[in-house]
Amino acid sequence: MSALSLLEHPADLSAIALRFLPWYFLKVPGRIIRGYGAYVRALGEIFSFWFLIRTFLKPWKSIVDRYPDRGFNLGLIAQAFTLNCTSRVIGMIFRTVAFVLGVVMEIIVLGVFLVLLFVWILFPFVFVLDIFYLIGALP
Amino acid sequence: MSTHKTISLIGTFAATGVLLHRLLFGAWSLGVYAILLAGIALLCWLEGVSALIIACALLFFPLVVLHAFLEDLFMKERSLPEWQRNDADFLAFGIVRRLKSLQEVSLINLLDAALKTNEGAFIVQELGRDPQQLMRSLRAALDAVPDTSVAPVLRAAHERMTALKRTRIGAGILLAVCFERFEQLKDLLNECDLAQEDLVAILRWERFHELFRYSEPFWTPDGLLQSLGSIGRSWVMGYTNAIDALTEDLSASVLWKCHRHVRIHADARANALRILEKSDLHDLLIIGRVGVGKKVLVEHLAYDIRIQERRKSREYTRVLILKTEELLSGVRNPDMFLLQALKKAQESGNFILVIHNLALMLQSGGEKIRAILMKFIREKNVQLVGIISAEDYHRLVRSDPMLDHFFEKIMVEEPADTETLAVLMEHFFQLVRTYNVHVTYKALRSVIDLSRRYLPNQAFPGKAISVLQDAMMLAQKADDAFVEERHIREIVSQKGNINVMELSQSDRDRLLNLQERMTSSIIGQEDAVHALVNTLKRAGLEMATGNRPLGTFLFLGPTGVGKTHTAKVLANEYFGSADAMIRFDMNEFSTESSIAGIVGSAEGETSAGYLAQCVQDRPFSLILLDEIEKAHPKVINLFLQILDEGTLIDYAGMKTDFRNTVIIATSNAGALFIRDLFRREASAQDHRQLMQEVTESILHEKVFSPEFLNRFNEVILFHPLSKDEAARVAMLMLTDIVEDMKTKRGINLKVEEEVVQSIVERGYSREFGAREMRRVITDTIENQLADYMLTHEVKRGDEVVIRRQNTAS
Repeated sequence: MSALSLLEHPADLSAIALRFLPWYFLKVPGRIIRGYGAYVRALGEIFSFWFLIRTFLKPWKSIVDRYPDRGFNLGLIAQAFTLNCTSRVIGMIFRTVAFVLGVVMEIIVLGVFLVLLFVWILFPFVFVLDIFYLIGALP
Repeated sequence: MSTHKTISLIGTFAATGVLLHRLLFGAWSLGVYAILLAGIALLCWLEGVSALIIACALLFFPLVVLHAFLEDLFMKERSLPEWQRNDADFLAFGIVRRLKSLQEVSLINLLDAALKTNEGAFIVQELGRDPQQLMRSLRAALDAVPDTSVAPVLRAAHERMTALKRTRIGAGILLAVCFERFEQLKDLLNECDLAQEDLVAILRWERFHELFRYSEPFWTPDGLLQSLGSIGRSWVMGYTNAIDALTEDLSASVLWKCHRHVRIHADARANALRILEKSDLHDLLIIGRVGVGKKVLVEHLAYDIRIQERRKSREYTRVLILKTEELLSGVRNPDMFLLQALKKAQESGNFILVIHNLALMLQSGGEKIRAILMKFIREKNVQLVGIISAEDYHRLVRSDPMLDHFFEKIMVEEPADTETLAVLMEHFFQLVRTYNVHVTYKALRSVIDLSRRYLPNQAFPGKAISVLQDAMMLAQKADDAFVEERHIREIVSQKGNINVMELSQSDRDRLLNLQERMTSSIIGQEDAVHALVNTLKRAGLEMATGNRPLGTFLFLGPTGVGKTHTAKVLANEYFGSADAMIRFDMNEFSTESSIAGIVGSAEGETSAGYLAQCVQDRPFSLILLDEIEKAHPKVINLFLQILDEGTLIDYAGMKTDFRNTVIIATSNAGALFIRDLFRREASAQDHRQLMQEVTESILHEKVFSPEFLNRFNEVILFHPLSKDEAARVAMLMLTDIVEDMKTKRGINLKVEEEVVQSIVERGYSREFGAREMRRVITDTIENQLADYMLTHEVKRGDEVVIRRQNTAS
């Protein structure tokens, strides 16, 4: 028994062929877009952009010096202020780096998925052109 | 006349997919593609990369697309087939693909192909059979079936598929239907000691198996998230070196470590999460028995908290598990250290401190630790989750209303059998990677059945997981490919300190000969022996698996007739040693306060009474309650629960299981009545009538309540001994002395018959039976023998004869 017996059931083959077009142009692109969404969410969670923004000015790892409770000791106040400012600046630097890195990753992922999507959708046309090109190239 | 109608699968959905697949990706096609690719590569090499060559290469991409399309349409089987003209359209792609021919397909062809699929292989494994051997057996059994037409089988399979809410007829459904339809195949199931329902359960397990076949690669979104965690969130937390040294950060690894498919205690989890989300009174106490899954519940909570944080953009909360033992033993001032560490941690962000051994903390930490906990219970940024057993909760927390008030309580109950089975299945798929042995379905079921019966001190699912893991280790060391029921029995025997191995031939012989051996040691009480032996036979075959002890007996009769002796003989013959008998002289429990000896008391640190402790240590034992009528009525009432439910709950609320014990209570109640009765009409009445009269007499005298008497399996009447029987008792006692002298000293001791008669005359009375016999033998034989051996030189091999004249030569 060979695969030629498929020809005995042209209606079935037609049904499968008809399934191909929606699969190619709707189902798979939908999956590509959903896949992109999943990566965007995962990267969003890994870099926690919203938290980076909310805590942008917070001291790094809560390293702070307390201001004196009583009296007015300018030296101690200046000491605490300096340390706290330094801690906040360090926090800002790290968060900025993480934010930028996250944004870059998001852009890369977007680029990869856009390329994938366009290649997938445009490929049938490229394929048809390719066939014409090959026919034209025949001696 | 037999009918073996075949069918053609040409035109069915799966067959179309198979043919397309063979056409495009069969061996021949792949060969052609390889040649073409080689040609293109050659051109590249000769001519360099040109537009023409790229154009040729582009032709191969549609093959990738078509393969993905065929896979999506035919192989994934997530939805019903594209067309459903007949039942064969629903056949799984995997089965059809493995058929050699798609025309004239017989039932044997289908089963052969089905057993070669992943699903089929898994089911064969669970049956504990070799695939080829099973196929041979199936073939042989189906040869004897008069009608093996494929169409009706597929019709039934289609119906079963719909009932199971599946989209294809897979190997499991096909096998289940065949086993159901053909009587000849049922013997095969019987050989595997499985019922039809078990096969359906295996089908469900197979579906479960699918969840574990696929593991998320690291580059997928979930994989990345699990590997990399959350950078920005964790940066919110400050440095907490002190608390970090004494805690394990569950949040750091919760997404990949605590991701489980099976999640039990759904209600407890939801309640706990709700409590932890509250702004006030948000500290939690998780109460439950050992093994019930309290720690896993905390892991699930940590997981849920992380998921909620992600979904609702909440602040990061660390879940830290306190290493209580290290805090209490490895730190110089635990209270000071904990106070400073918690203060620092509190400043650095939100955290939940899990104290998995709160009882130890409260017991050993003292008042200062208790005060620290009280301080932080209502503070912001800090939440406490304590894990504690029910007994410890009542003893340590409930007794302190202040502390009790601050905690919300979650009781974690034992999961249902189906949930435990699911947990076991999940653990199996993890453990199989380590031990590389499979577990048959029957073994998996027996883990639950045997653990429930013989390991009562722990809770499901913990005890079942522990048994499964040990059994897999045992099978691996023994080079067995499968964990079978015998492995499970061996582990349960070790863990429960009780022999639950299946009866070997020697065990069977021992049970069959038990009556003979007991009657040789117990004189004149055949009825009692018969009743006891019957009970033990039932217990040996695990026919008595209810919630009651293996056997409960009340021995009634006058003194000196062998009631206690019978219990001793039983302990020796059946339980293997007289030490297996837990004896209580119930006259020591004659006051109300003596109840503490059974169930423990609040005084001191003893949590369980003596009886409960003995049974916990030796669950398979004989309990002798000697002279039960002398116990205080409240003590007797305690035994109502044991006799009826097979359990005793002691003062500390701990349950002790008596289901593997034999309980014998002896009593002299109604002794006078019994003696008079036997004297008057010993042989005139049958045993049942005598029994009824004695019972009525006891109830009339209000020695025992009716409910107490009714709770015994059997109330056994011990006959007063006749003089002849007393002589046989004397012979038995003397035989023991003679054998003892022979084995220990090598002296041949001979006792003349007249001596026996003399002992009977002095040691036997109608009132006291053979009670005095032992004393008389000690006085007249043992003492005299000792005197003789001290005054004469008796060497090994000498013969000593005992005569009536009180002289020895």
